[in-house]
Amino acid sequence: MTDIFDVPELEVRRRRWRRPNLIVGAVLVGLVVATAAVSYVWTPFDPEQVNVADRFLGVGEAGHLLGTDQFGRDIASQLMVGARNTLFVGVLAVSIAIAVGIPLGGVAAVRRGWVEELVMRLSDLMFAFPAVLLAILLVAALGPSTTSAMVAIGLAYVPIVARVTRGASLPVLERDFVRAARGYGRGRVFIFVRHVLPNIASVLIVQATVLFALAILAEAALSFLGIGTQPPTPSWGRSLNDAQTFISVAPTLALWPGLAIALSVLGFNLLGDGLRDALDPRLEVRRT
Amino acid sequence: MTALLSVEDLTVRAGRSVLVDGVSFRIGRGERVGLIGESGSGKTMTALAVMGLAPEGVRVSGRVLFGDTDLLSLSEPELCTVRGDGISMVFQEPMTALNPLMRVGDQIAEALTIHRGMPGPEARERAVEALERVGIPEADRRARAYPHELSGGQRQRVMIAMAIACGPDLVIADEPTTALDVTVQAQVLALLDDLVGTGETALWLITHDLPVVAGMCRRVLVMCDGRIVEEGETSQVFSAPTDGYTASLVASVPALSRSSEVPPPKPPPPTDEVLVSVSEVTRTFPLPRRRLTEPRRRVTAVDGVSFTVAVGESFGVVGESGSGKTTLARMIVGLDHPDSGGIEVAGIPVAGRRDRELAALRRIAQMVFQDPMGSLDPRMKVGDIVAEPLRALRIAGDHRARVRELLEAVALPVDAADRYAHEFSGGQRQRIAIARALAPRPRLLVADEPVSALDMTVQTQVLELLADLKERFELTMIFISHDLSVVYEVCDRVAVMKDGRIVEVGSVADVYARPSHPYTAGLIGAIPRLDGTLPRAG
Repeated sequence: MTDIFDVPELEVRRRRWRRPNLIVGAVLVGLVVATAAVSYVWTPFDPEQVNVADRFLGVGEAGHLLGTDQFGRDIASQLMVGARNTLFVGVLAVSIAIAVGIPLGGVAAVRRGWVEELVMRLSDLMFAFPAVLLAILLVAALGPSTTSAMVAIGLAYVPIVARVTRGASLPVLERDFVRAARGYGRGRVFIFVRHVLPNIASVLIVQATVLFALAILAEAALSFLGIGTQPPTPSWGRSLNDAQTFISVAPTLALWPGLAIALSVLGFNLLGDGLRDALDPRLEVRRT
Repeated sequence: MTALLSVEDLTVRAGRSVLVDGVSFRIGRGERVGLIGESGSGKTMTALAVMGLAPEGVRVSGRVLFGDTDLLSLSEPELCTVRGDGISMVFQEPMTALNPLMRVGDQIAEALTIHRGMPGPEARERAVEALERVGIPEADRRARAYPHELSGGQRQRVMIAMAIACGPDLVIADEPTTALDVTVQAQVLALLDDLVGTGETALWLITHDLPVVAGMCRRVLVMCDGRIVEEGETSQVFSAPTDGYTASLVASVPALSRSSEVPPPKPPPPTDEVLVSVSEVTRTFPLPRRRLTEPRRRVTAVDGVSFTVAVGESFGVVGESGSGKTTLARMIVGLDHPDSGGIEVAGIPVAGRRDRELAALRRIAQMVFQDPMGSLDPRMKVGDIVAEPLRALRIAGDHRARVRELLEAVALPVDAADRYAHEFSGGQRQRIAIARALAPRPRLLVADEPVSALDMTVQTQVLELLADLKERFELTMIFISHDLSVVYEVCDRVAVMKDGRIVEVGSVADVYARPSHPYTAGLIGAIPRLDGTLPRAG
């Protein structure tokens, strides 16, 4: 029955890097990165400049591109500076989760037995422990800041990454090329790094982009509780939460940070999808 | 003979490629016709197009006359009345073709309810009868079983029971026995022969296996690249093929499958120096507990197996699925370890050693696996795959030159090194796997079903390559296979395994000509032959 699917013409014929989701994702993520970079040298207004007289200005009023918030601060400038925070938050939390989670999951999958039991039961324990509570504990120890909030979020994501790594690794470890590698004398660490990781990279990349998006949202929640990014440092999450209070007075206040979060989360998800396909040599066009 | 099915100029296109190219043929009422071809030849697509089951995105043209109606002009609801009632289909893999969450009796009854409007209880009774007809013991109890509770052969019997439940005029069987062991295959073929052969029902048997067609069908169609290249009386086509492709297919049938006369024996093994010695090896695997308090149950995969392999010998291990041959192969190359017993390869004790203690063994013993796609890392280029053992075992020398040499030895183009495994055909992938196994210049090659995933003609090429490489590199070979004909082609001595034990061991000539164990005799008797004798083994 395989002959139906072995037909070259039915194969994905798109060129490797020319995938719409990859391009759109890269553009959106690139926009966030560029905005964050530009904000270091230029913003239309001082993002922290409070001006009570200019509260709740509409789009384009008095030179404010996206208007002003409840303190008369320029929203466009705030969003630009907030992009830095967003990237920092995502990168830090996801890096921690990956740096700890992949080796843990890998060890569990490769060693099996009691090591696997230990890692998996510990991660069950972590799952049961609320991430916000963990964050509060950590903030109590390190003091409130974006960094300590994100370390807590990153640690809370470790069991997720560990589980995904283990789950994706197990079937790969059962495949014959892993057996072949053992058969010519490769050790477990080499096999995991060189043979298993590249084959589960697609799963991990997608997981990482999802976590990236979740981390941005988690930061917003922690900032709302007052244990995340501290004012006056602009944060999309806090802007969004602040805007709740004024939703009937100035609905656009919630619109802009919401849109920024949605687009960057979408961007990272699309980028992850696109990368997964682009990095898979099996989907490459057959060379003739 | 009036035509029951008349296919005229059937063409199936997907995008710009033509999968089935202007195929025309007829099947008479009660006739049995074989369709032969290798994978990718379009034979399954032809069957699916006839049934109106072609996948989304392909365009079907031509005419398919079933009686007086053109099936291609029917709407889906109209087709549904034909399918299962007028035409029914038996698929290759009964595990996936049956609904895993539905009792098999209910699955048969469903067809009767749909096509005969039979009320539930009566349909279920008839389903039990149908199961009895296909030889399922305790049919009324088995009707309440789920597919996973039945063996592969029983599942295929259930598929056949479903196919014949409504008394169709035509049964299309697509590789009905390919997934089955040889003795079970013989039983299922005999069953199809009994049920379909006697009545008015026509059989269209699609397979890659020429001897199966020889035993079952009077007329045969040969398909290649979407076209029917030859058509005629089976005995005529197989004894004097007119088309070059048919001739190459016929030539690729192993000697043992040609005729029931066992061909002359081969010379005995060259030396007495022992390279591999396996003594009293037992390997068990734990089963999950059914209850928490129950003691852990174990299943015995290999049970007290002993044998030796001499230097330069080709030693075959033959057995049906689940007989423990793969576990045995893995233990010999140190990928798995016995619970008890000893294994030595070139004087190196293998059993129970840790991976890192086995570096010396890795240079001596290498393995070739069954599925050439699964045994090659899809993320690595072929050059890296072949060079891996050289790097892992820290073998000195110019690795790139060695890779070139190896690719040449297995007759692959030199530019293969820069490509990925998926860019190659199944046979080429197996060549890559063989090149990798040969990289550290091993003395022992353990090949676990190396050709069973390949087409017949490709199978012959890879077997010839293995024989050639064995000579060239003075290899000793342990060849694991379920296929007795293949073992006959390549091996000097053979061990027959059943339920983890070796029931018989001896030179190929002796074992095949005078099997001393009834199981071996049954296996040999069950091989379908090209001269058209249908096996009747128990």
